[in-house]
Amino acid sequence: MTEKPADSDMPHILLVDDDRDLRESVADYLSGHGFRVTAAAHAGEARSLLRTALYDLALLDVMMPGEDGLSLCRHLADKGDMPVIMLTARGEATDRIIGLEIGADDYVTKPFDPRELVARIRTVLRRVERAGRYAQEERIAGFSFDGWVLDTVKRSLTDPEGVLVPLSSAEYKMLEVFIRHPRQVLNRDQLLDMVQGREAHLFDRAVDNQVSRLRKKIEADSRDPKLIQTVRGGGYMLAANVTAMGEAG
Amino acid sequence: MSEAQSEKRRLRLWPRSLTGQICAAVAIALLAAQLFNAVLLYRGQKVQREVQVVNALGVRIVTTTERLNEARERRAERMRRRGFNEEEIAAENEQFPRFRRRGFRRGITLENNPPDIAQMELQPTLTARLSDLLDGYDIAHAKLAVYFDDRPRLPPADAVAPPILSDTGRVMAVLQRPDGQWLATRVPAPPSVWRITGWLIVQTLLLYGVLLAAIILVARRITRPLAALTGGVRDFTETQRHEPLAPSGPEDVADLTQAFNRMSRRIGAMLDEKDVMLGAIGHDLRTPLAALRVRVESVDDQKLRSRMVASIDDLNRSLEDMLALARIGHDVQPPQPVNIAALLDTIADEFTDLGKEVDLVEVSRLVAPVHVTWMRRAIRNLVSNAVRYGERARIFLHLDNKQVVIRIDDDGPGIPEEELPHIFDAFYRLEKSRNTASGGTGLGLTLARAIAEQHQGSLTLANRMNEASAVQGLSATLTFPTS
Repeated sequence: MTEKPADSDMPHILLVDDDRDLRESVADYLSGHGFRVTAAAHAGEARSLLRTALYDLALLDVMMPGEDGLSLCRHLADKGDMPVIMLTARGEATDRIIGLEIGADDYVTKPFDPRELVARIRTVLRRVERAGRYAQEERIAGFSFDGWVLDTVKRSLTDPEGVLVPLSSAEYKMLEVFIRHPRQVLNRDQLLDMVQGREAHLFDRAVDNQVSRLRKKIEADSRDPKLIQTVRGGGYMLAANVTAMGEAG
Repeated sequence: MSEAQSEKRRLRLWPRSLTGQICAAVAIALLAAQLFNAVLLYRGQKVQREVQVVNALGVRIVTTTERLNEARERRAERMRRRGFNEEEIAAENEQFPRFRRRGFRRGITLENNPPDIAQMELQPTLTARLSDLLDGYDIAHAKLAVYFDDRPRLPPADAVAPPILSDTGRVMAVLQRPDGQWLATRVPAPPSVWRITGWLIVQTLLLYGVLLAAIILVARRITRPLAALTGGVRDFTETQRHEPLAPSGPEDVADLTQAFNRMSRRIGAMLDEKDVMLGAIGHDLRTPLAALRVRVESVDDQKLRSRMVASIDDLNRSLEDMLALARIGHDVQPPQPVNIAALLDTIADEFTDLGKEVDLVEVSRLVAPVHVTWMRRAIRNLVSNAVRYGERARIFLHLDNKQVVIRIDDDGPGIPEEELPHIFDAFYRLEKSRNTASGGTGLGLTLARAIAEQHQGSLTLANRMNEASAVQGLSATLTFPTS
């Protein structure tokens, strides 16, 4: 049995990046925000660190000399229950999708706002804590409701005719919250709480405003909403049956 | 107008394909050669025909004259032996100018009077030739003429056979002997020159058939690999990838195919190298930028910190634009049907959230296949320009003749009219010299146009004028097809 360190109440992050400057700065920042960080310069070092200690989450750079981050991520996903957030330098959507398909839980594009990185780490940790890494939920590739499809890998929404409806990231997150809680009344505080974990700057944004934007995109008539209904005195509710869809292939 | 029409007609007549052009060229050359050939043949045939006729006539005249003279000589001898004197012999000859029936040859007459030559055509060339021939055989003649008689020959009254169909007329030689008697002989005229022409036409057609078959065979051996090559080049232009083509056809064309394979392999390798390099550049620049961005958080002065964050964001955007511009065009993923109105909505909201004035003025639900990340970038760049230089942006979306038209108006100073045609050039120069210090917009506009072109569309910029023709702002119009 590997012995857990004394300050085990702090989440332990394994950071793997070949750039020393990035390793040091991110480690410093995360240490200042309630995390314990162990850094590795390459996949080999990470593998040997993994043999001697347990980590709560791995932050992996995609592009590294030798074995790259995607390969290491696949190794971690095959091996066990450690959640992974990829650090990617390419803005390509395909890279992100590959990362998520091989088992990463999230990705952050360089350069990133460190507060957002912290928020994402917390979200992933919270989700793992709540559901367990290999809970059914994690194998879901998307949801369908009333003919609409929300692809959680590509983070895209398509309408019943198969037409892509672009969403802002805030809209996507709010829709995902609704979909994960179908036919439940969610009040503004609950919505804010569930959405803000991912996106820091939603704090000061009116939930009502966000809901009305979302309605404009998915409702046939946004003045007479059928899908996202207003519950008097309560909040909002997704009035549709949601079906979870497995991973493609 | 008429010039254009004649141009069209000329183009229609002249085939466009290689096979067609070779065939047409060979056909024209062959026609010219055959015409030349026909002229030569016609001339040769004419001389040969004359010689033939003259010889036939000459042989008859010579043999007839010789036999006649011999026969008369023998008769004169007999008469002399029986005691007739010379005068009586001459009178006898005059009285009986004809041969006896046995000695007669078909088509030869000997008369005391000139034969009827009415409606006959005098042939001076033939006359001269025949005269030369007879002089060579020492056949004396007082008068000589050759006529052509094209009247149909009357069949003999007792003839059972039908009249000869291939009657080509007769040639008649009329000769007055030194003793004053008229010798006339006729031979059938040789087949007319038209028969030769007919044969020439048949021959030409045969040649055409054989030659064209050969040409089409060879041309197809050339054009088939050429067509494959064209397809390969087209594929390569569109996707920068293609399967190596199997070299076929004549050696020259096969060499070309192989050269193309080598070239495309090399270009493909260079493009791959470029992608790897761009990825490395992106990674190697963004990673320190990310480290810097994290370190900025430890700066206590909030004003200074936000300025540093803005600088890093600017740098990152420029970097992204540069990488995107280098990468555009070889997107492996096909375009996807996208609700364009929702896309514009999302972009407008982004800017509104940042406190910018962006209005969707006229937007209808409209679906078109686009590369959504690219299209978002293009529109974002245009809106960003509008709010930066024109204070506010108004977005219009409509469908015009199967084209999606996205117009973004601002209320800024516009662009000086004389610079408007050069605006993209200027940015291209800017981009080439990597001089992005003068503002990120240069690349943004270039990129927006490249994205429009990636979607088979266009991007145009124009100043908006009021009635007094004062500039009210700039209009950027992005157009691309719905399918």
